[in-house]
Amino acid sequence: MGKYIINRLLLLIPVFIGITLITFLIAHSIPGSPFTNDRLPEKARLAIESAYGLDKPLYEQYFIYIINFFRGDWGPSFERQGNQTVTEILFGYGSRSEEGISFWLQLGLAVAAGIIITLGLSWLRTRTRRIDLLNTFKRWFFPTVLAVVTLWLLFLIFTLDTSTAGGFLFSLRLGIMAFIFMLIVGIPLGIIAALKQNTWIDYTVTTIALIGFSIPSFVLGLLALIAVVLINYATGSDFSIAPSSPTTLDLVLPAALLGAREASIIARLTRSSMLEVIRQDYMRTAQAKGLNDRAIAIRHGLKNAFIPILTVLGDRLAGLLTGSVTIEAVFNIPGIGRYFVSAILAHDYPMIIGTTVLYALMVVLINLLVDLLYGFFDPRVSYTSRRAA
Amino acid sequence: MRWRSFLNYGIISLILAVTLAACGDNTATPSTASTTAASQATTAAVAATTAATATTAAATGATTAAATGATTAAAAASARPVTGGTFRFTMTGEPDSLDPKLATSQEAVIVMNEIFDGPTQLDKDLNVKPNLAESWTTSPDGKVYTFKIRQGVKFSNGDPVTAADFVYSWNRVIQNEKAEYDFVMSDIVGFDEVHKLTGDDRKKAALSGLKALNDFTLEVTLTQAASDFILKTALHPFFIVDKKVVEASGDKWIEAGNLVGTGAFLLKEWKHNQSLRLEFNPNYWEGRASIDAVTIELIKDGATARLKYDNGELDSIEVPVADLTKVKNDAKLKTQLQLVPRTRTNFIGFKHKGDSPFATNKELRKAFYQAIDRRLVAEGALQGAGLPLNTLLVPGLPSYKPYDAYPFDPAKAKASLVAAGYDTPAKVKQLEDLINNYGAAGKSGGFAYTPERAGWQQASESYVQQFKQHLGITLKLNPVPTAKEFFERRSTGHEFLIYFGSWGADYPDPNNFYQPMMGCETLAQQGGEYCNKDFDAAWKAGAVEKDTAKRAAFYQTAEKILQDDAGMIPTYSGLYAVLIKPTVSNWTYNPQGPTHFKDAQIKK
Repeated sequence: MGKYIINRLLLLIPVFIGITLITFLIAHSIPGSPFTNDRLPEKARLAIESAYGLDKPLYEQYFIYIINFFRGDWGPSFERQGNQTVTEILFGYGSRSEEGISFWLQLGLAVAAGIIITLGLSWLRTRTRRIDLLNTFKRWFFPTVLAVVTLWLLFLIFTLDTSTAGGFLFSLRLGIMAFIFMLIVGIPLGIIAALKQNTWIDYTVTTIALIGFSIPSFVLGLLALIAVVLINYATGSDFSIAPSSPTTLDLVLPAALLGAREASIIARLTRSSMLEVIRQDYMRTAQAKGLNDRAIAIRHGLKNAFIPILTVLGDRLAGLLTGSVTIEAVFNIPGIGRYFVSAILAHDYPMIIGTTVLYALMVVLINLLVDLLYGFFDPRVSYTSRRAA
Repeated sequence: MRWRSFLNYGIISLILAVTLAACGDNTATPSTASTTAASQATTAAVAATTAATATTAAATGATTAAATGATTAAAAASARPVTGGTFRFTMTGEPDSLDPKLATSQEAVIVMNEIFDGPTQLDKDLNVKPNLAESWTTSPDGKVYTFKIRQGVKFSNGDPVTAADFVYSWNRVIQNEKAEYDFVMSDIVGFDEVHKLTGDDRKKAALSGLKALNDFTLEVTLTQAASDFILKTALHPFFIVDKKVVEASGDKWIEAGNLVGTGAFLLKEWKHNQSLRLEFNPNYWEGRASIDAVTIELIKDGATARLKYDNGELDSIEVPVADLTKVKNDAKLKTQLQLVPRTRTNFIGFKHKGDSPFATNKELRKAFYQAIDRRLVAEGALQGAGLPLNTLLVPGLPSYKPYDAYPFDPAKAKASLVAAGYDTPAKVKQLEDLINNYGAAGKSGGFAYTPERAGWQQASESYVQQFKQHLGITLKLNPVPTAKEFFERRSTGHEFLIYFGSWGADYPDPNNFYQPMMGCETLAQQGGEYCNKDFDAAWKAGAVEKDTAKRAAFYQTAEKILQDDAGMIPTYSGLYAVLIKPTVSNWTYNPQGPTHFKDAQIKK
């Protein structure tokens, strides 16, 4: 498994080169210059462009960009006339040099804590049952460490000071909350619908899921805002809507609406995946053994039905964490969703590449985690390369 | 059973929501009184003393020099009542910077206008008023300006303001190679020389036309007399910054906590991409602002801002175009609505160069001119988000005089088309094909515009429809996806014979209209390389004329020559449609944007 992770991480290098190169070339091929302006004479514009090094040959600009990228300088944002940098806009305006060190230290501590917890759990399990300690540890090591690190990251994300924060922090908060909503609403609904197939419960769930899937989230968002305003009129309360500096509490409503659509997708998927599993022989065996219904549904049904759900979950998570253009606009959340669009209109090359790389990194890393989690849910999945016999 | 009752509740609440929406009152404003009576009393006392000192300072100033401006300013200061309260304002985007040498966006200018001062300031009617300079004299040839700097003005950290600060602040601007707005300083001697320098030389450069004669006298030498120089000194590149602070804090000097200015407000908080908070400057030379603070929420989405206004969370918003008709028809909101023309001229431009049929054929331009019904464009296509315009200059600016060269007249338009030599359907078809197929195949030609800017699409569709209806010429609409691409293809490529033109002025003076839009030697000209020597002579005379009445006459002549020649077709001016809560008074928009917040008053 270690070798597998290293291989996958090494694969990041060509992926990174591919993504940056293609994005770089596409961004630079958009007609017009970032500094075209209806009042700037061409000579002055060329002078500004050369001050930013845009007059150099493309390959040179690309190499300079890549070198700077790894030094933490993602370039100036042309949309802000070069007065703010991409990293400032995405990740924050304060200097984080001291925090940087403690970040890795904390990460290390979290991993160590994960290992200790796994050891403890494995020991507890092997004490009561006759299972090999090493094997149990191997199996539980990754999900436990992942869970501890995730909890620590969640704590960090939801406690950081937002006054100097960049947009990514807000998008992360919104995305995580929407993801949690999607999990706790989508999956149970899907399971219930599958277990009560062709009853009115099933019909209700599938209808709601269909509606939730069809209505764009920004329409729901606007309706929700209007509802709040109307409630204020009707009851004399003074709930504020869409504050510019949203707290975690302010994000609950947009996250729920953003998650509603995702929950519909997951509910439909869970339902169909469960329906397939329910008809399997081992389910009937479990029933014949006399296990109770809940144990059958969760331990035998869901666990087997979870592989396709996991695939989609990973994909949706990457999308949610990098912001939603519409929900962020409607609820005025200062996330990074808006830059995916505005950067292109403004010919903001560094921002276009910055946002794309960020999204790509999310997709690649989360896919890696998902691939590793397959092994936990389905022990038949193996990470050692097997030659075809 | 439980499910069913849940559903019932859902349906009931849905019905309830719809009924509420139908009879909803859109204007209830929960009052947010923030100041207590006690703090109000103390702030009033502070204002009284500062007003008194301002008056004495002005009195001494009046005896030493004939400074009429200082006394009027002091009068305004002593007349300013302190109402307290917080003005809750909103902008669509983050200021790109708050450094006078870097900032370019309108959002940045709105904020900088409150926290910095220049030698002069524009009042709400766009007249130039003395500010940090209490008076100035001009040499007979109009080339040398001597500013007398107001004594006793302090930065918000207590540093005194002297002539050396002026020289430092202005040289800082031209030392920046990436500056986009330093062209407002181009009249000053040494500007062109500095612009030739790059790298370290540029960073040490200084304008040779700037001289601090003593601590409170500044001499500025211009390359030629410029009638709008004094007005330009009210613009943000001329704002005064504190050398000590800039050098101590580096790039981060513009952040809240570091930033220091002389303006009526202090930058208390700047949460990037979220909000800003300005609080009154107790040491402001003119006496403290009426209100305690201004909060600026950055809200990108117009619909969300509108809902927040309805919810009583904002004191003023710009109405989204889509909402304008609804607001105009709403009995309550109608009274809170203000329509202010803005300094933006929208027009139909022609290519005046080379093989263009519009270049030489005035009758043809006239035909297109007479075929446009401006009222229909402004009120129909734009739903009232523009005002019909018959001139290049927009109303509300000095030198503006109404003029209508060729009113809308379909019959005359047809006659002009015939007079232009397009007397048979075949010839008209030929012209149509020439325009539609002009330039690189499939990309250029037709009626070009960019849908990126609000209203341009609708207006362009209306023009094309009217050309078709009144001239029988069916032009192909050619939308260029982004404004940047459109500007480039229009200005340097000249890829279109006819296009949607638009010019937003940087400063409210006719000089910022005629020259950049239609001047012969103008680089990046808006008007498709239009060149008319008589027109040029007229506005050039206006650009150096000191006498206001004569100056206006020159510009009006220029306007008449341009319109009689049908060099471009003015169609509509931009418009600020602003909703302001009835609790706010003495504050509005002018053609350049929101007026100064220092005079705003808030009723509780």
